[in-house]
Amino acid sequence: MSNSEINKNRNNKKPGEVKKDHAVDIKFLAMDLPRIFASMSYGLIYRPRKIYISNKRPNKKSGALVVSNHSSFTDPVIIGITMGRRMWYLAGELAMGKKLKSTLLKGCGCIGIDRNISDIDAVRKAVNIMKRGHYLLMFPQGRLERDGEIKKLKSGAILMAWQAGVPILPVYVKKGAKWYNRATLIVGEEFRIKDYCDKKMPSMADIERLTDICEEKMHECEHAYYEYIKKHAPAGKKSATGV
Amino acid sequence: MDSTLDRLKVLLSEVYDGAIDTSSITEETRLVEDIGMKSIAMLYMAMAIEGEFGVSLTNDDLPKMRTVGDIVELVETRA
Repeated sequence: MSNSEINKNRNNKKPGEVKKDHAVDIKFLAMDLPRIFASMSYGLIYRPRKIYISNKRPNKKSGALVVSNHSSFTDPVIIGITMGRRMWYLAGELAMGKKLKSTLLKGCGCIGIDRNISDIDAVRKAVNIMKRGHYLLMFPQGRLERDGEIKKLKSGAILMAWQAGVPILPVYVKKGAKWYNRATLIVGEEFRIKDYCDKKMPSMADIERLTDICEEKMHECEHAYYEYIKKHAPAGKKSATGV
Repeated sequence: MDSTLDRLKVLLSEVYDGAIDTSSITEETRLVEDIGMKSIAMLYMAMAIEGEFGVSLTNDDLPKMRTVGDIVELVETRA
C-alpha cells in the first residue's frame, strides 16, 4: 500500500470521529491532572461502579453529548472519573463563580453558559468540542434536583447534539445514602437525532419530541438502577439507597 | 436569486414546520410578539441563520434581533 493510500485511509473517518483519547495527553494536562487526582481521591471514597444497560457500548472514537440527572454537586466528578474519558462540562454561570473559581473550572474543562440569554457563544464552543470527537457532559434539567428525580428536560441538549452531529449518551448517576456507600453510574444506549428524525433540519415540534425521547431514555437508566439495587440488595436488608 | 427575506421565510417555515403563515411575514414582523419565538427557538434560528447565510453571530447580536427586518439587516451587513 502506497503512502498516499495509507493517508487516504487515515483520513477516511466519519465526522466527529477521532483517534481514541489517551488517558493523559500533554495538550490537556490542565484537565488530566485534576481528573487523575479526583480519580484517586473521589474514586476511593465513592468507589463508583459503572453499569451498561445494553451490550452496545458507546463508540470510543466519536464525540458525544452525555446527558445526566443532577442531584449533587459531586455528579460531574463521579461521571468524569467513571466514564474513563476526558470530558468537558457545561455549567451555568452561577456555578462557575467568579475570577479564581471560574479560571480553575475552565482549566478543568468547564464551559460557562449564561442561562438568562440565548448564549450562542457558549453553545458554539460546546458544539466545536463535540465535533472534535470529545465528550461533553450536561445536565439538561438545567438545575440541581436534590431528590434525584428526572424532571422535564430543556431542549438545548437536542439542539447541540444536532448541530454537532454527535450521538446523545444518557446516563443516570446516584450516590449512596451515606457518604461511604458506593456511587453508581448507569450508562444507557447512545442514540442519534437522525434515528428519530430524518429531516435535514428538525422543526421545533421535532425538537420537543426528541427532548421527550431523551427524557424517556434517561428514565430507562433510572429504572435500570433501581432494578440493579433490588437485585443486589442483601435479602431482608435495605440497600444503601433505602430501596 | 431569492432575497434575504425570502430565504429567512423558508428558514422560519422549516423551524416551525409550517405552523406559521410565512406569507404574512414582513420586515416589520416581531419575532417574540408576532411569531411567538421563545429563547430556545431564537437560539435555533441563530444556528440556522449561521448555516444558511454563512455568517457568524455572537451573544451581542441576539438581543438586537427583534424583528425580521433586524435579521435581514444583520445578515446583509455581515455577508
